[in-house]
Amino acid sequence: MAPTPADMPIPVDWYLYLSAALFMTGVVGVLTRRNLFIILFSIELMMNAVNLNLVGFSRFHENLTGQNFVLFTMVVAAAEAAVGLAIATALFRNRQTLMVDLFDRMKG
Amino acid sequence: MVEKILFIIFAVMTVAGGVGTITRRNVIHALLLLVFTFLNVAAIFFLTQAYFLAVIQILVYAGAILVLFVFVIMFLNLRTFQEQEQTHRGQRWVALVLSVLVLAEFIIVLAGITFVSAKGGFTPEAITAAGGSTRVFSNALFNQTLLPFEVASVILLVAMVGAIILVKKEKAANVATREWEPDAESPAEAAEEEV
Amino acid sequence: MQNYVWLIPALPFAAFVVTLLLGRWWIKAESHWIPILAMAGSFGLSIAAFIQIRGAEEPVIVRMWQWFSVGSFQVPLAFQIDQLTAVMLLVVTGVGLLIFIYSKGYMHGDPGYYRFFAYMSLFAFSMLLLVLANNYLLLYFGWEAVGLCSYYLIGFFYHKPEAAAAGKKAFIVNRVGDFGFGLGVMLIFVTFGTLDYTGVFAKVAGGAVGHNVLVAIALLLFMGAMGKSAQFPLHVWLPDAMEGPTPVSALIHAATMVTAGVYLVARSSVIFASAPAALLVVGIVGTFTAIFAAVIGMAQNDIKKVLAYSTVSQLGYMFMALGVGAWSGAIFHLVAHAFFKALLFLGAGSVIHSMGGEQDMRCMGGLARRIPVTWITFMTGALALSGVFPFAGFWSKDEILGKNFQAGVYVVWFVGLVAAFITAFYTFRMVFVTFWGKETRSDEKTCALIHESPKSMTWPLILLAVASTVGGFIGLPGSFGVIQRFLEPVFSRASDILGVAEPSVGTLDIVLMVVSLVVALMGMGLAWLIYVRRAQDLPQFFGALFGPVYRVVYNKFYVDEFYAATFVRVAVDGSRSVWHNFDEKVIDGAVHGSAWLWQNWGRVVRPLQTGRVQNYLLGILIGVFVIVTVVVFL
Repeated sequence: MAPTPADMPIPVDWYLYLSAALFMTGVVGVLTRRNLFIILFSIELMMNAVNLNLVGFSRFHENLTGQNFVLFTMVVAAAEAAVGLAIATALFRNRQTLMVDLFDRMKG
Repeated sequence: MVEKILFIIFAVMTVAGGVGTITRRNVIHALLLLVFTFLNVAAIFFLTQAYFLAVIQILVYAGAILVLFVFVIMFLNLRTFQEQEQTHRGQRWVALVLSVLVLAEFIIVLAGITFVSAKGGFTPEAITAAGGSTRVFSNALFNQTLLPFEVASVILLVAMVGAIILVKKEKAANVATREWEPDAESPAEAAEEEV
Repeated sequence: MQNYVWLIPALPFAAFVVTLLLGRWWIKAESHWIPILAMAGSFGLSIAAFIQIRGAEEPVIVRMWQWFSVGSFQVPLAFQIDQLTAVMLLVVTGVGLLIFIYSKGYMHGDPGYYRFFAYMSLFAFSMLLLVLANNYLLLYFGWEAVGLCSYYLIGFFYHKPEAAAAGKKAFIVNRVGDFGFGLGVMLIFVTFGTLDYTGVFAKVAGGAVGHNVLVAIALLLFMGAMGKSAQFPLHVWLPDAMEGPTPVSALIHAATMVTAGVYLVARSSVIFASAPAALLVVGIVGTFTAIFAAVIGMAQNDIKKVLAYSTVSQLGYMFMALGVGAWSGAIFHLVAHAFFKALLFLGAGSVIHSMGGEQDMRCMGGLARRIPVTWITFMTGALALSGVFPFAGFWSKDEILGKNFQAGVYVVWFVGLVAAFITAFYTFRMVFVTFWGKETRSDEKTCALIHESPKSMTWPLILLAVASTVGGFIGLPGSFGVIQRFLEPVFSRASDILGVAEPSVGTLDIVLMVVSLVVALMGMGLAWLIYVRRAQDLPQFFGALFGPVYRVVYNKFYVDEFYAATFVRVAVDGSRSVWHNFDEKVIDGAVHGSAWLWQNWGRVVRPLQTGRVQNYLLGILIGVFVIVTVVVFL
């Protein structure tokens, strides 16, 4: 176990293990599911994994930049959700489906 | 010690929620599990004494973003997809195995690293002495990262405009003449196959 | 002087930019005003610089900014003003101004009117940069820029195939010389570690450099001068360059650009003086070119071609002067030649203008009464070119011949005298054939339309005629020579190295003057005998007289044909061989082969492009796995 500041009750490694697990869960979701909404959810999972990482290290290094950065991640997540949902709506209107493997018009 | 136990509980629930999110057939169920995951992440933020972020996590993520999702899901009435195949036949097992392998690699790598704290000085005691988490957080935000903060507002504006443009209904004539219907293989594409 | 010198080249450049950008759509037929005013401004500033530099021992250096800075390779954009530069500035801007004004009338109504003035302004800028430069690289820049403008302006009538070909020829032939010049500049830098005139000359005079290196540098520089100043064997481009508009021929191919070679040698006088072997080459090439081109000039029928060969011949005179270290004599002849040759070209242009574009002298004749102003001014120029007392050419040519005689190279002096005889002959052949006689040998329509040129054309002619008449008095022989004493600070160092004696006027000078005057009059008399007295108005008389010799001369000694059969032939055949054997087989084979390879490779890998984003993402994951595995575990 890595050394941790005396006043930090939880070792910073734990955050990393949790973050890695959550991130790979998101990856599996993105790679295997067909439903566009689930894929968007999975992306949110991955972003949260990153946030966990940032917050954990912010505490560990006793530096607030990490926490500030989380706020920007949230901004990007919000923007991504808004645009992603708009795209989902437009796609659904045109194709009457949200199964992403059916969108293969870029096939070589 | 209490914190460690609480962390383990919340961590397990976080991962469980995440796994639940990506395995549900019903999108609404998946969404509720996602909310559950976010709440657990917020709890871990609390444990880390990042109180302001924890509140924001609940308000913005568990609140605003998810309401947006719910709204769209209701709007589109996605129940019909529950009967269809939910995963990629071609790559679901490959992706799963590979992901587990990469995770294992991450864990092995992390186990071998010893981190050294940079001791930035913002200990919980210092933060409390300086007026609390929110005040210190805002001071840092509006002093060091004021420009990124303003840019973030522009990003949100752009996203909003983009979303509105994308969702705006097109004129009926354009929709009727749209050529890429799901089943129609266009002649151009057929010709391409020959090359 | 420090604060206005940069304006001298900047004004024409500004005129170039404005005219080029706005000329086509906006200024159109008024395009001449901005360039003319810019030239007038430059001329005024040049006069100011001329007055201020008078008598100064050291050149004035004006640094603008750093152009290059690579290690020890420092090249500033800086101007050097000394007496030589001042003279050149006056010639370029003064003659240039008159020719600009002349062009207003001559080019009137041309569809490329604005283009013409834009290029002329660019040329003026380049030429001024050339003479103002304080180092060899900036000089080289101006040198190449004037070459480029020359190319543009020779090919000004680009729809005429001959004009386009002549432009190309000028550019390519100049490239041969410039290749040597470029090598010379590099060698200067390698040898001296600097390109500034002052630094280089100080080191040369200090005697720190070996004699052989100096000879090599001097010869390489002279190679550039040969190309630009059309010396044998690189003279072939200049007569063809007459395809350009006549004001271009007057400004670029007679008065200024072609004298850049003379300027270069004069500027580098210290180097050449320290390398007598190179100086000998300069003298030999100049002497040979002087007589060679003069002989060819006797047999030409195109009025501009005669003047072109005459220019080549006169440039040969200048190099002849440089060859014996008569630096100021060469510059004096340069100035005088700029006056009377610009006058002759503009006069020829006026004749051509009045004849509706006809250039063949055999179709002219009897023009003296029809276009009197042109006739009188042209006559003045012809007298000056022939070297008749007291016109400008008499003094400058006599200075050159006298210096050669004093230096003891009697062969050169004699050849120069013969060339002077021939010069007088072909000049007056041109005058007699064009202006004498009763009727014009052309169709009636053209004859009816013959008219005197507009004022904007005749006034420059008159002014140049005045300059050609009195211009010689700035260079009286011996200690009376104003220009010689004016230029003394520039050339004193080189003259010290060579040990040229102080000029003095003795009986010998008077005798030599009388001799050359008599020779010139004899040449005129012969022309009169053949073309006026015998009324044999065509060169066929020559044909009967000399037969095969005439044919050889008429065909310019077959130099062009020789080049076509050797260099051009080799280049064309070699290129064709490379084209068929290497380009088509190897290069095209490689290109087609690689196309074939990637086409088939694309066929193989195309299924990977499924169009499904998740497949691609899986690829990313595989990549992450591989990289992490390799980096961390292997």
